Amino acid sequence: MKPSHLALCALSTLALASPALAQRGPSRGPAAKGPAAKKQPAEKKEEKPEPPPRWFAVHAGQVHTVTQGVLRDVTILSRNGRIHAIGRDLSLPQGTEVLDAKGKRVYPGLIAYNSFGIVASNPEHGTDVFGLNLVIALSQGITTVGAGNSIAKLTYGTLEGHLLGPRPTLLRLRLNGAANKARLRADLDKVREYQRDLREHQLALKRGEKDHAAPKKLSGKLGAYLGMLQGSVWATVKADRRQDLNEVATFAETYGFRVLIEGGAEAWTMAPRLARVGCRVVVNPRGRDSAREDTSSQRPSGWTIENAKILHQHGIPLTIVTQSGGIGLWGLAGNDLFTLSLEAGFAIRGGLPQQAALEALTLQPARFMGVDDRLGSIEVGKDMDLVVIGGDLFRYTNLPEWTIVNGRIAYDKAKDSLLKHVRPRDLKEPEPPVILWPRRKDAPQPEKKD
Amino acid sequence: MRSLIGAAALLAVLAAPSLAQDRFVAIKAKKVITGTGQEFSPGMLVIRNGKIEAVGKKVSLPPKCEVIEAPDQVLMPGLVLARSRYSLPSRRRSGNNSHLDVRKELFPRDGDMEELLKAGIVAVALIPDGNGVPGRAIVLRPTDGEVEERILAGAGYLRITMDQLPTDKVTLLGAFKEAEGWIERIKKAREAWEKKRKSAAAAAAAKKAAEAAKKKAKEQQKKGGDTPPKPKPAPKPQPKPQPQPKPKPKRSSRAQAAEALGHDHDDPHEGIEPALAGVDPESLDAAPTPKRPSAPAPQASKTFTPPKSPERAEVFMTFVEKPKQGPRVVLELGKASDYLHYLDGFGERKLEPFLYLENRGSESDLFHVVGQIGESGATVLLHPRVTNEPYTLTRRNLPLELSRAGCPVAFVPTRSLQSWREEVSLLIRAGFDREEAIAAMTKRPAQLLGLGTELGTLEKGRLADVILLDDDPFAPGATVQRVFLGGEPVWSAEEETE
Repeated sequence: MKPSHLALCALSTLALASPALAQRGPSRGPAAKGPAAKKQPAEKKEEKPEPPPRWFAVHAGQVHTVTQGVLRDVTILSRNGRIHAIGRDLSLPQGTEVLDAKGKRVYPGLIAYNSFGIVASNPEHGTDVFGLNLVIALSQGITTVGAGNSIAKLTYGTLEGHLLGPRPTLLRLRLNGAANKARLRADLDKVREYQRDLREHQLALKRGEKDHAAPKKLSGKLGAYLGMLQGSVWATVKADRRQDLNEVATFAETYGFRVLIEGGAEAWTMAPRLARVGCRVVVNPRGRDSAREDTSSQRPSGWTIENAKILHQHGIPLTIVTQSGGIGLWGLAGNDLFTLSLEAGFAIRGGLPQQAALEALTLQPARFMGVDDRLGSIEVGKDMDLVVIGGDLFRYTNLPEWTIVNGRIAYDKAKDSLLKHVRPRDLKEPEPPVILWPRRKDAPQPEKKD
Repeated sequence: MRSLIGAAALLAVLAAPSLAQDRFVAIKAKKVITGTGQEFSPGMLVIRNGKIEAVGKKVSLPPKCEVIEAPDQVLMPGLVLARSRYSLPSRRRSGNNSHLDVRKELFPRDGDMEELLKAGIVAVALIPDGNGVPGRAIVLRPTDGEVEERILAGAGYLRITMDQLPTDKVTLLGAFKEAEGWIERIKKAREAWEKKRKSAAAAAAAKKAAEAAKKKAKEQQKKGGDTPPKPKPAPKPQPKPQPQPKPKPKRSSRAQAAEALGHDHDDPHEGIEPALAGVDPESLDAAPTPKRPSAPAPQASKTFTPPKSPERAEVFMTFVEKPKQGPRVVLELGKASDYLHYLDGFGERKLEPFLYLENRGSESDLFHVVGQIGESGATVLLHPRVTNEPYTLTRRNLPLELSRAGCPVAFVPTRSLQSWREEVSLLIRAGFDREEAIAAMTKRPAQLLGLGTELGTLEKGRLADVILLDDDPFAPGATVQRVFLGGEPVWSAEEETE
């Protein structure tokens, strides 16, 4: 009785697991292009005769395009939410809504790779597009978030273009514990065997052996692994400690799959190896918590603020995320999406070049999510998602003045009830405060007021 | 006691409006608010057989007219409560229940509508509880008696909520999808049936050449009794057949039993089976004659019998096929984005819903969509409240904004029924128009319930459901003194205090 029971159990678990895996399995592009994202506008065009185009332009002081350097005193013109032209002395079509941001800096809209509570888990049917968290995310220059299995844009006040598309599937591997590793190894070996058999079969067919039996197709979990080994699906692993990262690297080297590492607090210790493996890293520059000292083994934490810099130096694509993907208006400030750009500022403090830090918030997450054909930089043809800010994006005192999503002003600090009062837009620069401490010998002494 | 008599009299009036002699009642009051923008002080109202005959400053009284003097009271149309769970227990449903209403949740007893009368309410819409499409609201008058006697037939609406996303949106999308699926299925069945019929006709034509077919026809004619097109087997659905079942009379006896149950419980009938005795008459009404095709006919039948769609899908099938013929819909919105989601998913469905806005809390972000709602011109049911913008102390007068945007506005009380007028009076102080406010408690909710021609104003031909107050309805402390339903006094504050 017992073995049959076991077999039944195994069967049922397989049956249960297979649909979920099958969903993950199918070959979506390797996060290079977002086919689903591309489909949407095409469908819309088919549905209705086109309404008159919606023009929107920003006169910007400095445009940080990410891919094409910094442009000064240019106008960015968008048509129906897509950048139509960038340049000086553009002739704007009639009825263009113009945002005058002369003297201000413009960056591409930031992308929060992970988020919760900003948009609904089912954004198309559930997001509160007037919601507080959405507004706060916009106030920090975030225009796109990855939420669960979807990618959503923070289209304040409208559902048009809200859902960008599904997120490319990632196969989450569990490498904690010997049993998990052994199981994974066994599974991957099976998949390899299948690949070998398949190759043999193909060769046999070529030779003209028509009776050669084809190997049985893989389905369920193994089917998903097959996609991974073929390179159509990325694997993802949560790993912070060197030991775990080593395991990941070994697996990836042995079986030849591509892996996205979440965490990677100690990744800097083995950056060359990880670079050779060709992995991507989603990193939190202040990730002390994730590699916390292990008191049981007296193991010190291997975290360093230079982590992002070292990984970048070795050519590893980085995305910077905050410790929490939500927005919490309680407790300690500064570790959620409210301070996404500040998080990159910490990486810069550790030595990461500004350009790389900007990429880690824009182009890289767009690549990681397979939507870099639409997001991540200011280029003609991409979405008109911009952050307009008075000064440097990574300086903590600077708050975005406007956030533009799909060629619409989604956030205007002067109209926001939450941050309107913080360094108001038209406020003249106040006198620098008198520095009383630390006193240096050569520092001018504060004048005594009578 | 008096309310009982009143109810009885009202019923009598309703049941037999054209008595040999018309019954006239006149009410003379300090002030008469007609609900159409007019006010007479003093004024009077003449009621003929429970319906309003005339209203004005001075109306010539017909002979034999009973006159009710209320020289220090204000007369106005009774209030209409368009959304309530009054006296109903909590019974939440989710999903699509468009075929259900609250009838089964009602356990009427005499005097249970006292609170409504005390608040001057003469019609109340009782809504089903829950989310998604919880069902239909029915409209009752606050009389005594059985549920069926209280119901205002034809009034009410289908309640659809859109305040718990994404569940509600998914539910509604599913309901439409299901309906479209059934329409498609029925269409296909019809096509198949037509195809079958054509081929059958062709076959019959071919057979006509052969004489054998004719013989068969003759044989059938000899049989006589049953006509060939309706070959029905002995009624199968009956759970307990009688000892001597005679197919034909049996069916008719069942129909008779249904009639008997539907109209006269006391009539003893031999054909009533124990299983039928507990069935509610409504379901039997539909049952007797047209419900035949329990056994699928193997050959193409003469008439097309569509596959039976579930009841819950039928309402939505109407929405899809003939949106104008569907029931009135009240769509409930919690937040501004709920409306956007509605437009996104169902904007092209032509549901033309009335809206209920849940601005009952201290904060509401619904002001974001006032412009869009105003464009739609939908009648909006909401709480007479001034709310804050979320997370701020910025005040927003949502009813006023909607009214200015061009929406007819109707009110429902936020807290107790008794403080309804007080709430509205505060809103009037905040700038809401007084006449609009009166309409929002009488005419508009009546229109929303489909009673626009029967209730809500003091105009000729409408039901004389009126109330007398001791002061202006929006004066502080004004209380309802007397309530008339169909011109008959059913409640009075004096009796209450006795």
